[in-house]
Amino acid sequence: MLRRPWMWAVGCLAGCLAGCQAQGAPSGFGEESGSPPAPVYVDDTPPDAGSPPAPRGPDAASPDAGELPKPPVSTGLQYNGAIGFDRRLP
Amino acid sequence: MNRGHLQFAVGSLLFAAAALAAPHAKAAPAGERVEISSPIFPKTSVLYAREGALFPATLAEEEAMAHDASLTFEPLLVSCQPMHPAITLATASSSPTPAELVTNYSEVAKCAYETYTAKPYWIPQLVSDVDICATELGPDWALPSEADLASFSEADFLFIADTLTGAATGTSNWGTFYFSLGIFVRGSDGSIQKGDLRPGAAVRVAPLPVTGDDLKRHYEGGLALRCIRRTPLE
Repeated sequence: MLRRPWMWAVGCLAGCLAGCQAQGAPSGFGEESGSPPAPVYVDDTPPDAGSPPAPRGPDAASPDAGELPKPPVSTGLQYNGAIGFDRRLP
Repeated sequence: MNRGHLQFAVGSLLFAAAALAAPHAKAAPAGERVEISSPIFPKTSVLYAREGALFPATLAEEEAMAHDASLTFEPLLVSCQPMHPAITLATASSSPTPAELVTNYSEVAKCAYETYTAKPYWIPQLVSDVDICATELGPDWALPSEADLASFSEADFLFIADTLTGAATGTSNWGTFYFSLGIFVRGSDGSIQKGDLRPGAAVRVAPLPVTGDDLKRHYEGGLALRCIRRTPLE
């Protein structure tokens, strides 16, 4: 039986804060300036180095919001003439 | 140090360790991106001059010949654009729309045939001996293997076919081979074979109907030399 359970809580909080600072605080956390938050990239496709950016084609297979993604998620015809599609693990 | 201090220290240590370790956890790939390149077609004027008895005797000569003969899509976009003004080139600030990409594909198909004598007539021995995909498109591209085709689902084949069919709008006889679903494939036994990307195909990979010295002559079987690149998605 712990004699001072509140000390555990304080210890946990201190440890967590120390960990966050060591990693670099996430945007909006622990910053004093009014800098804007980091952008959120919704396209997880890395740009093709050395070639112009290929736009994402119409995504006919895209599921409605709330549904689990099903392969293939199309990206269609690319600028480099290739047919690209994402195969996500179910 | 009394018992309370010890509890405080242990609690701090555990949670600091957890906070440090969690962001470094390696996420398993969420899937992969598959890309099937547009065909690399040969300038027949180059191939016809070095086939049969005139086929190169060394790998270095084969590599030089394959490079001289190869027509790839992006250079064609640029070189064909003056003669085919419907082609839309990407700029630093803009990319073609999906409709413009379809037009680009059709116009390059025409241009490759009309201006550069491109036909789907690769010499199988050259495709077998030279890693044309890596040489012409980059080291992360490869000739599709029998295992690659076996890994595709029917939905994948349907998507590839639908995309090419959509891109074929407005194209007549010229350059139809740019839309071919018949491709060269590296068979499981290491030989060059013919692959079929059509949805519902009963046989995906089959041996070429030519053997021996005929492999050193251009093959008019309508096969496109397409390449594949598979990139893990994080």
